[in-house]
Amino acid sequence: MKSILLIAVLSAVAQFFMPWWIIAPIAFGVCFWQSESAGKAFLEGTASVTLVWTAYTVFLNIQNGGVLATRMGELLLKQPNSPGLMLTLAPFIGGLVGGIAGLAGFYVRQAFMPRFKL
Amino acid sequence: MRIFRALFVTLLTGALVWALNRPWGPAPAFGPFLSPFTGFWQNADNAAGLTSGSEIDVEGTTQPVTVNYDEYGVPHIFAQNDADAYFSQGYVTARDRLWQMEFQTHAAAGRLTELVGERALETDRFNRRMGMGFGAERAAEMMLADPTSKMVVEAYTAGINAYIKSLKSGQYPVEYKLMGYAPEPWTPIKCAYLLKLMTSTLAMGADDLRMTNIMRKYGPGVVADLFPDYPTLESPIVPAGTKWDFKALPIPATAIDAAMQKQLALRTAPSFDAGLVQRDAAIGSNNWAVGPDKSSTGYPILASDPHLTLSLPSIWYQIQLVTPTMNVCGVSLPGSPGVVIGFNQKVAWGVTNVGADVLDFYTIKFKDAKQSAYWHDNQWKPTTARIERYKVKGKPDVVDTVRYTHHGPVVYSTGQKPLRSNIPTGHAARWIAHEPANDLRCFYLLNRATNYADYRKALSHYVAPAQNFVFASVDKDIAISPNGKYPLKWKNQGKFILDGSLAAHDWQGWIPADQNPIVKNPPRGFVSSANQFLTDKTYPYYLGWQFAPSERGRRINERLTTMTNATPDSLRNLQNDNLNLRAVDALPTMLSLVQAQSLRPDQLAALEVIKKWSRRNDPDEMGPTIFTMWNEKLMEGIWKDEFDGGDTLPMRLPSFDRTLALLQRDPSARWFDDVKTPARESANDILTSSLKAACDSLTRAHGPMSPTWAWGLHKSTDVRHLIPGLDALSAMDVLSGGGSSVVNATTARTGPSWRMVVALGPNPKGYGVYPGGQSGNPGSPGYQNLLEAWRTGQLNELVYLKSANEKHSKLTYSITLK
Repeated sequence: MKSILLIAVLSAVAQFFMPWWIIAPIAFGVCFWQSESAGKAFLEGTASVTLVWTAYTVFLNIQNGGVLATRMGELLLKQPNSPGLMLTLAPFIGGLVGGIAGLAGFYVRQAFMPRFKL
Repeated sequence: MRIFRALFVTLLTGALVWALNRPWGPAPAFGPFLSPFTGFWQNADNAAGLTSGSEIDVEGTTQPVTVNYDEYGVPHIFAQNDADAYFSQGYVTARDRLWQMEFQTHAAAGRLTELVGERALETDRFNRRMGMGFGAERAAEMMLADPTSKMVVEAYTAGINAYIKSLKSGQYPVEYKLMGYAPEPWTPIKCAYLLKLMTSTLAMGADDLRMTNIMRKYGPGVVADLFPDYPTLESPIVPAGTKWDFKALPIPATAIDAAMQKQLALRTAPSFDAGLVQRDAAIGSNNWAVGPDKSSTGYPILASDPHLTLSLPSIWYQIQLVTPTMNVCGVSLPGSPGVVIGFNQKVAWGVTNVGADVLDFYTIKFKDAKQSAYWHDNQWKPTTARIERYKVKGKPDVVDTVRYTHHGPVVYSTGQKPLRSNIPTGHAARWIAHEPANDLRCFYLLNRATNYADYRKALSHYVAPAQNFVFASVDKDIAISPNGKYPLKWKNQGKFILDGSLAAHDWQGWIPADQNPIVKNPPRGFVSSANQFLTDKTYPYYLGWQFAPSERGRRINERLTTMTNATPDSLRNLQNDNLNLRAVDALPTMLSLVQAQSLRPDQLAALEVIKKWSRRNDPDEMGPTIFTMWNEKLMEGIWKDEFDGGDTLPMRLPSFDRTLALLQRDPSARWFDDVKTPARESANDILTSSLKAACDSLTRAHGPMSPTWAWGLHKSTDVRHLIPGLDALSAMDVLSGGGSSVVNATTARTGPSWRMVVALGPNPKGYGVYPGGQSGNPGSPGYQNLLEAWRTGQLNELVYLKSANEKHSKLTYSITLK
């Protein structure tokens, strides 16, 4: 829970200034430092980024009335009138990156610093 | 094992990030594109629109500038000096249309390969080989040599750049994100490129090659008969009988002589079609002004609706510019400073395309394969080489050399090269777009014009694309002038390909600007244009042998002749006139010749629909669908057997005007015979078979005759995004009436790109609409919020403010640039 919050807050702030992929090193670092198991690391990485991306996309989409998400769904996925697809796809992609990066962070700690404990 | 696993997953993370951070084919890089922090979500503008003002810190203005926005998103710029106004115009236009401005100038400059790679190479090559860059460079030079236009264009450029500099990549317009590139700094030459783009859209029509092929195949008799130099039905822009109050220059002697004809006959058919398009009859425009005696207000009322290929982001950008030297309101072209069509306190003006013949092709005889010299006026003259370097996305640069003669660049098809290895020949293009020009100066002066004299002075600076400038003033003057820089030619010079080695075939100078056709306050009480012939046959100079079909012009003149007590709404109503005058002209003849007894019941039913049809191209009528298809099949049926030489011998069909006269006067003419059948067909046969073919074709497309044949559905007007194929960013199937050769000239892809009506008077009132919106952002509610009003033929009030503090119910928010 703590990791999810940490990744979410850190990545949300960082993404305002840095490229989107900053989510990967942040998830990696936090899971390296905090996670207790591989499964939890993956879950924490995924959940936190998905949470941030979902919250922000939903906010932007609501104030836009869904205009652009609808157009992009049609453009990229050839699905007319389904803004929901983009609202699902974007957080999924972000979450996937966060999850795998988190997992990598945990495994690296296990491999190189098995006794690391805060 | 653990180390291996750790490394593997870390590498996997890296690979995933890498894969998501780069584009795959035409698909954007998904990571940055889908991220809500940098991706398209950032372009999802607030649906409620901007309502609160702000101060924007920019460097470049000398005094604070107030920009009041109205509910349509139109900026009203109040600046304390001209430079600040143009700076602000650049800034706010870029704020709404940055991607479009840059993309259009990239296209004009032949630089699309940088964005989309090799598939744009032929388009780019064509634009560059036609000399767009050459022309733009000369125009930019002239623009910057004049202190006023230099100030205008440099301030405008600085404004655009100030906006670009303020952007982080997440704020780039969504098209940049889709295609994966970034805006580059604006430069003055881009303004010139934009004007060249208009010239290429409106003044690149050339039938020289097709007419030459017809001359070769059928000889001068048939050319004179089927491709006459003046139509049967016409109502010219300058009313017939108007006197010319100038002493004309001597007209050069016709240089088509026997030797020329012989040479023409011997020459192998040139086949450089190099993307040259036949003039598109649908790209035209209407404008007119009624004088004080015809209007209900006692002052002139002016209307203007330029027809172009409808596109998104919208072609036009509405704006009001107020400084101590002007208060002008109307539409601008994103990428060009000032107002192109609009009004101020004293005058209003609008434009339609002239379509004079200002592009000619010359056969060039090179000395040898090096192409460094060509034969002209009995001597070898050196060519100059212009190197064109294409940066191709994902590929090495392509380098191309274009040879320039004194005529212009040599444009020739690559397919032609291997055929002529010993004496390479090609064709040089002599094109008005290559002339040094400072067209901005014309609009600068028009924006500040106060009377007829100012209008004349402004027009003298205008070069291309030649436009019919309609004018009305609060002094109760109305006028129209088909205006531009016209070459001085012998009659029919450039109707056929010219001989580049003969000095007599050169353009012979220029028609003096003050001898351009013009009419002021004609007795009929109105002036108008719809791209038709400019004058009657008494005008001393040759400007072209063909102009747009006469129907729109004749219909407008017919209605304006009978109009009294005109209000802005009567003119709006005329802009939306759906009467199909071609059908009115032709149907009595067509219906009398068609053989009903040989039609099937379903074809008879279609004939009945035509007979009962109101002759109006209203969206729910089936008549226009059947008539238009019948007309098309009829033209093909009569002419294609003789005049369709395919790619090997490009020819064109005679006009509809000539065809109708032939049907009426000579229904047994040999042209009605289909030379591909043993039988001898007559006009009756061809009218019948073409109606059958039309019904078959419509049945194939829409099923048996039913309301699915309705004109609006069949025509299916689309307003498409500038990037081909992006239906998701386009407005598809916009249900509307009108059509080609109808005053409401809305066709499948073209139509009124702006409709404006201005009532002159002590307090001028303007109305206008275009099919789109002020915002170029597909994620903005302002992207196409004007479309519905346009579709239904409504106009919005053009908010015209007198001062920055003026209260107006339609104002929403304001910004200050300082």
